Amino acid sequence: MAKKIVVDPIPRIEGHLRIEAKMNDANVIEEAYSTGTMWRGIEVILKGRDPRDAWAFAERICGVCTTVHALASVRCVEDALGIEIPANARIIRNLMAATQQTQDHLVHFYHLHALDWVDVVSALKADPAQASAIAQSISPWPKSSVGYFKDLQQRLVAFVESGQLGIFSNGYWGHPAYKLPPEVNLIAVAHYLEALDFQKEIVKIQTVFGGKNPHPNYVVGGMACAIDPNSDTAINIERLNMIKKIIDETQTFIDQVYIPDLIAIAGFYKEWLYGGGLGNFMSYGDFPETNLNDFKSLLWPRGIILNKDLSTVIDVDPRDMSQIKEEVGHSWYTYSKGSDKGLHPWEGETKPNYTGPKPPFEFLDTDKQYSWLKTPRWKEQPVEVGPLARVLIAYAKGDPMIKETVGMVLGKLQVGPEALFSTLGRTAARGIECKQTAGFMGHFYDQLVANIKAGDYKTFNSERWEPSTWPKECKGFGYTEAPRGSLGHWIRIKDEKIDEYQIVVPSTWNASPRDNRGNSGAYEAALKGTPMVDPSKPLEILRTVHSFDPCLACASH
Amino acid sequence: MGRLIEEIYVWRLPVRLYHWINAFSIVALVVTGLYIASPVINPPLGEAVWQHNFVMWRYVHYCVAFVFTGNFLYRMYYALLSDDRYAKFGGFRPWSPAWWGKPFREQVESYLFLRQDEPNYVGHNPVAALAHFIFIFCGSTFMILTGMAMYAENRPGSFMDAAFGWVLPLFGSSYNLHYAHHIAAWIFPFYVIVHLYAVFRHDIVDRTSVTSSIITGYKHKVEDEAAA
Amino acid sequence: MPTKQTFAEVFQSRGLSRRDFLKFCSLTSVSLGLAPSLVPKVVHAMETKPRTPVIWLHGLECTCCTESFIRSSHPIVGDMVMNMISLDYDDTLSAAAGHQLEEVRKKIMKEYNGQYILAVEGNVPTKDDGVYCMVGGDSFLNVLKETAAGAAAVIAWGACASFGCVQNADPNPTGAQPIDKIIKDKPIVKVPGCPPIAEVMTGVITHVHTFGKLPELDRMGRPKAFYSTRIHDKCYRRAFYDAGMFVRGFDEESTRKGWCLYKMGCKGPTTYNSCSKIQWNEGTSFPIGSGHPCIGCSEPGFWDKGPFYTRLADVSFLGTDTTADKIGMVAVGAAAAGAAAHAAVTAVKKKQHDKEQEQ
Ligand code: HEM
Ligand code: HEM
Ligand code: NFV
Ligand code: SF4
Ligand code: SF4
Ligand code: F3S
Ligand SMILES: [Mg+2]
Repeated sequence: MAKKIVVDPIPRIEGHLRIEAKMNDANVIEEAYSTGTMWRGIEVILKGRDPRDAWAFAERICGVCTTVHALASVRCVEDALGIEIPANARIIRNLMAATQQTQDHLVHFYHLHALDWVDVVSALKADPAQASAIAQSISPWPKSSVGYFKDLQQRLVAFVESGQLGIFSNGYWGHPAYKLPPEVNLIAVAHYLEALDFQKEIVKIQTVFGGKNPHPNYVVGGMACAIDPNSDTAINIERLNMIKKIIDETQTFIDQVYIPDLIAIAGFYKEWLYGGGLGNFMSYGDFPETNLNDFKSLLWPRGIILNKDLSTVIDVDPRDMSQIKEEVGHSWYTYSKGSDKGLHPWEGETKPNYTGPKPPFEFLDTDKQYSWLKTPRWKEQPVEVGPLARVLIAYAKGDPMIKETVGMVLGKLQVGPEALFSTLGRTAARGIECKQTAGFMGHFYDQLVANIKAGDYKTFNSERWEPSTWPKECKGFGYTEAPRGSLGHWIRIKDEKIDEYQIVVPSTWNASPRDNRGNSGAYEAALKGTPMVDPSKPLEILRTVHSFDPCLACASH
Repeated sequence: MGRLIEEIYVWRLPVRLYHWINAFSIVALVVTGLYIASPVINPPLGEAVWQHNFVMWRYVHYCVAFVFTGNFLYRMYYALLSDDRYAKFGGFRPWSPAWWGKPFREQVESYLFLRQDEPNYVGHNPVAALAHFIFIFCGSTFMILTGMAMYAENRPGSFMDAAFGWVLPLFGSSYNLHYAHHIAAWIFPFYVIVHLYAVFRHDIVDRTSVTSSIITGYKHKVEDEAAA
Repeated sequence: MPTKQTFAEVFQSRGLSRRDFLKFCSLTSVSLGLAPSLVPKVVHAMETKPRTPVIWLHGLECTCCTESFIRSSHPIVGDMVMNMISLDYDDTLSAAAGHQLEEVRKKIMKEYNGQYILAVEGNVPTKDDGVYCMVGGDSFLNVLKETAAGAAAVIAWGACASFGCVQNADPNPTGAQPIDKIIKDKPIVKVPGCPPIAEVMTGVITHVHTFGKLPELDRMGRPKAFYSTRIHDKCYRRAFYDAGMFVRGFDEESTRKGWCLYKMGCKGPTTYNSCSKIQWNEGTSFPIGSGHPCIGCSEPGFWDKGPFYTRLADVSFLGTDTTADKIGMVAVGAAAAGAAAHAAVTAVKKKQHDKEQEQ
């Protein structure tokens, strides 16, 4: 009989995720079930409100990928009302989204994912001199002296000897699936702390333009931050200098810390190539250089790859009512016109209907409804979204920059592109993308400066600010490539109020329960076939699930 | 025309004084209050510290608010401690079912044209007393408490804060407090219109010269001429 | 190494007597609201266990309070979790998973009964047995009650745990409630904001750590150190407010000159928070500083005070959305119309009456 294990709560993610997995006698996962165990009803709460306020509600869907929901929201309202935003607003928004992506990826790698590969306790046994030598051999990063690692190790010893392990309590230390030598573990711990300190710098870019982070401010029609190089209360040279400095530091940190660590750690796990999953990938594309409907101008391209076939990139059209649909056959929702049919978000609805066991419970009934996530499908097919999807689509489309970075990383690891279809491939893709996006930040900065230099200070289009200028009824779609993948907001406006608001989130695509045809989403598919060394310590499940960077508050909203 | 048969000194000076100070402050508070809520005058570009446009509106509101409050307290004092029977609201007993009985009913019926004769009162008629209680007594108390609580927000830890700070949590938030003060402000224009209408109408219908009574203090009793 | 030092050792190294230490312990117990019988336990804890254990639970939330927390610049969070507190349970940062993670929580609850701090991020869904938020196969409602039972004090992070926040906005589909609706018998420190400012969050914890007692709270249960004045009272645009120089639209001359955002719906005048003083992200800026009106994100119920870009909220009135002023104006208009109608009827009646009299 198959054994069933439950991992709940899953830590080092955003929100509340539960995995139930069935294993065969050899402890290989045969079936996995991914469950989002919380729902707040943001789509329901948005109904009837002023569309200009929607961004703030939507932004609170998630504080980890903060900004992206606000961005998708203002974009969908602008699309509905036919508002063209000024170039500066577009550039600033691109810069803020890029800031989000780099910071989020950095935090994910070091603070949410690294402990699946790094054994903190083993670092106590490291030889600081050797750690220093390794660190210096892989990167010019200055904080790599023997003394530096020695100090850190002493701190760590004191910490462990205090008997209070804090966030490291009861981790799977000593688990046989950990493969790093003590010295690499020590380097990783050092960079865990450095990254924790550094990530807070990156987000200051959002603070300059949006007033705070997390949850910076947006406005429908542009940005609220005024630009005037001759004013002491607008974006002037002092603000620009600050941004420039942060961009430079971010690029350095990614080049000298993140990417070398990624390659060093991945090098020890090259044979752990589980977790490939679906092989279908989707990206809406993002970072428009003109406007969002000019797909050729998107720096991250859009498209779909099916069955790992990199030779063809299919078009995706989220406005086409026949392509993207959300199903609820295995979710705790009903549809008024029958819960067995999928609905395009423009005709979507959100009606909760819990049918699971009354808590506390041991297992969910995974044959029926078992999640607060809906099940989005593209033409009835499950697809994976996120950094790996974006990198593969850009790669397949022949983007020269991506080709170069992918080539560099694969070359250093001495593996072929097929290695990308795995848990580690997903993790590597995130690093590759982070480097690329950090490069874009410099590009956006240059564009902004050039505009200001040319005398263009405009940040806001007020033509459609007053509700009296709006059509009686309209609908809009807004998208962005969030750190975890393709994010879409669909809105219907009627009589100056939100009539319906539907959000389909990256983690909804990836963490969705089975669809009406019984097919798994990306998490469930990726876990299938993974052997577990010790099922009572399900480190392997954490690895693969974490490689997607789950965000469950996003996913169920 | 009727014949003047009696002259009664109803509104003594303290009441008349109170009345006109009250009338003046309410007009001023409504005007400045609504201006605070949505300022329209736009000063020219220039250095802000040298302009006091908006702060003056608020300053006037606060000054008048204190006059209004003092005047109100003074009237309470006069009602409770003077021997002025018309000022005492002595007969106003809404908690007793008897009060809602015949006189009140008659007055309401009269306003609704359900009866021909106009009941006459030397002091306040029961409906007027009730209106004053609701709009003026309760309304002013509400405006003063909420107003003082907002005023106290300017100085946390001050005497005002100690005296009125407890009001804010009753409303749940500072915003709700402002909102309540703002929306309640509208009862005053409402009351004033009804009040003025009632006064002028009574004057014409009962011919007791109510209108001038709040200036002179005297009401007149008039005897109807015998039918022709 | 400071990490190795217990509180007792810290006292010793600063030349303070054992009496001082014991006094500190009993003061701590009092300020944490503990029974005197627990003082020896606290003394024991302080002598042997250097760092206060913290259990950090997540309910219905967006984790942005955690994200804000890790943005703290003084102290930085690395120091905080290595040297000051022992963040033993936090689903966002903990290494352990599943039942191993739940084990940690149970262990702390047992070993440090009456001594740990419970930090809560998020709301408690109370509808339908709490199925809208479930952790480890149980409802968050149950988990919270269970974990609060042995806590010395509770910190309510953010607008969610303090007052309600977005999921508790109308129509509140999950019955989301702030934690003081559930936990009634513990001292609760509310740290509102959506999210709260990073240094305010670490400030609250280090206040306890440094001064040995909970910070003084205001009438709403918030630390006075951070919530005693309004944004408006320390806003650098205040001079423009007093002058009546108001921004009337985004991206205008007045906007670039930094005029006051009052007419854009700024809720600074009714919002208690430290944004205009401490500012955000190491003093980089704050919402008003970047041209956007304050939406009042640290105030109870601020989500239902929209539209955000108007000073006064729309209210539902007899099935329509309208403003307080429209209701007021309609009422006053109705009074005038009523008076006019009444006057007309009076005149007609009087004429009739006079006629009758004449006959
Ligand atoms: C803002 C304007 C006004 C307000 C708020 C106001 C308010 C009041 C109040 C509170 C009383 C009760 C006095 C007491 O017993 O303490 C009163 C009575 C009276 N007011 Fe006014 N008043 C206003 C304007 C006027 C004006 C313009 C007139 C006439 C010229 C007037 C005529 C009277 C009369 C005749 C009474 C006594 C009527 C009665 O209660 O039987 N009022 N008013
Ligand atoms: C008849 C009596 C009163 C009326 C009609 C009145 C009306 C108003 C109105 C309409 C506002 C604007 C509210 C907003 O939109 O924020 C206001 C604000 C205010 N009122 Fe009054 N008020 C009255 C009495 C008082 C009293 C007795 C005080 C006591 C000090 C007071 C103190 C204030 C304060 C402090 C504000 C807030 C001003 C600000 O936001 O800076 N008011 N009032
Ligand atoms: N999934 C997701 Fe998000 C992202 N990235 C949203 O769109 O994390 Ni909270
Ligand atoms: S208070 Fe705001 S920021 Fe904090 S968890 Fe709640 S929604 Fe997120
Ligand atoms: S911008 Fe807002 S907080 Fe600042 S002075 Fe104006 S109203 Fe007050
Ligand atoms: S919106 Fe919130 S962040 Fe501060 S300025 Fe207002 S309280
Ligand atoms: Mg949705």
